[in-house]
Amino acid sequence: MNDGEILNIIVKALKLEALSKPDEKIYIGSRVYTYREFAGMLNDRRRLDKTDRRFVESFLKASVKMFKKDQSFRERILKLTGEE
Amino acid sequence: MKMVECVVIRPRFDEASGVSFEWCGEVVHMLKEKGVSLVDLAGEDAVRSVVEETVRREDPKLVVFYDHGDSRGLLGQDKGYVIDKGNDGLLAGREIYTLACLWGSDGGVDAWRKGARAVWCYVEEFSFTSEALEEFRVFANSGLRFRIEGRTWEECLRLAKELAEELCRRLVGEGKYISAVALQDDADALRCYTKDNPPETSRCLARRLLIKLLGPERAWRIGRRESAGWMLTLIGYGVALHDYAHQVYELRGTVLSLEGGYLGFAMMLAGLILLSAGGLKLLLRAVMNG
Repeated sequence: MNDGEILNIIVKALKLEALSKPDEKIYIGSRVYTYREFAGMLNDRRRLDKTDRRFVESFLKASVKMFKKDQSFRERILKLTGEE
Repeated sequence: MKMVECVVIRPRFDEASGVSFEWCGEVVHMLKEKGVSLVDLAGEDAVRSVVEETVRREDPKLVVFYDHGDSRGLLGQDKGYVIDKGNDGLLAGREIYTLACLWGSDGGVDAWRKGARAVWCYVEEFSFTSEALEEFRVFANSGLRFRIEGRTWEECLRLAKELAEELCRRLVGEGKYISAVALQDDADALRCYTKDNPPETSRCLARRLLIKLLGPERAWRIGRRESAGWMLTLIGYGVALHDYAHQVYELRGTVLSLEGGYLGFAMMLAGLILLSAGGLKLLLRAVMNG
């Protein structure tokens, strides 16, 4: 599985998680987003401003790293997206 | 009268800083429990003039700052910088522990260059989630907790990153994947600059090149003037050598005749390296580092 495929699976899983608890919040510096809003940010990264795009890119990079390194994370993400 | 060992700065002006203000409350409690005398500049007191005056007057060993910042500085209650490149010389000889976003990418490096003994900082945005406040609090305060236990800053950094991995595993186990990734991202962005653990990047292109070539510890020992001098000399040397070869080619139809000129260039380079104190050593190290 290449990084692009991993990323697609992760984004799908994180969006599913976000939409299952839409009112939880993520604080990024001084900005606050609900998980529902955050799911939208993962969806269309090109529309984000520089600060948010930088964060989302760094966030997704960390998620790919975790997917490769952490077996439990990988298995759970695959299970959540029905890709196992 | 007991000397003040620590100045805590904790503005509170939005939702996120409201949370970190509380986290910092635990830090204040922790320090007091250990008998550390401190001045707590909370809320309205967390402004530049008060911070500067307090640090000058109390001469603390440690400065703690929670929460917002950017690459240029740390933001106070009035959203102006309480610490930036204009006054970070105040941190010389002190340790600073921050939670601020991005400060480690530039401002923290500058504070370290100006003599701060330890700079605990983040090179990217610090993020946290409402569903895992406890885990993020534990991580955010962990470095100082380890320090109070008597660890070196380098050990604190290692332990904080190990703790983050443990907390991430816990969050993954609870199905909090967004929180787990955000915490991992924070841990990846965490740095602690000390004498033995210098910054691995710089805004300066020449410095970045030196870091890549010599490694951060050696690269930061070379001053700006020295580095610019070497760069100008070597680029100038390269240009002169190229032009010489070109002229030889025009004259003789080959670039390799008139060996005396090349010998002269080689001798000049060798002489330059020998004349420059430590230059030969640096060159050898660079070659050995590949």
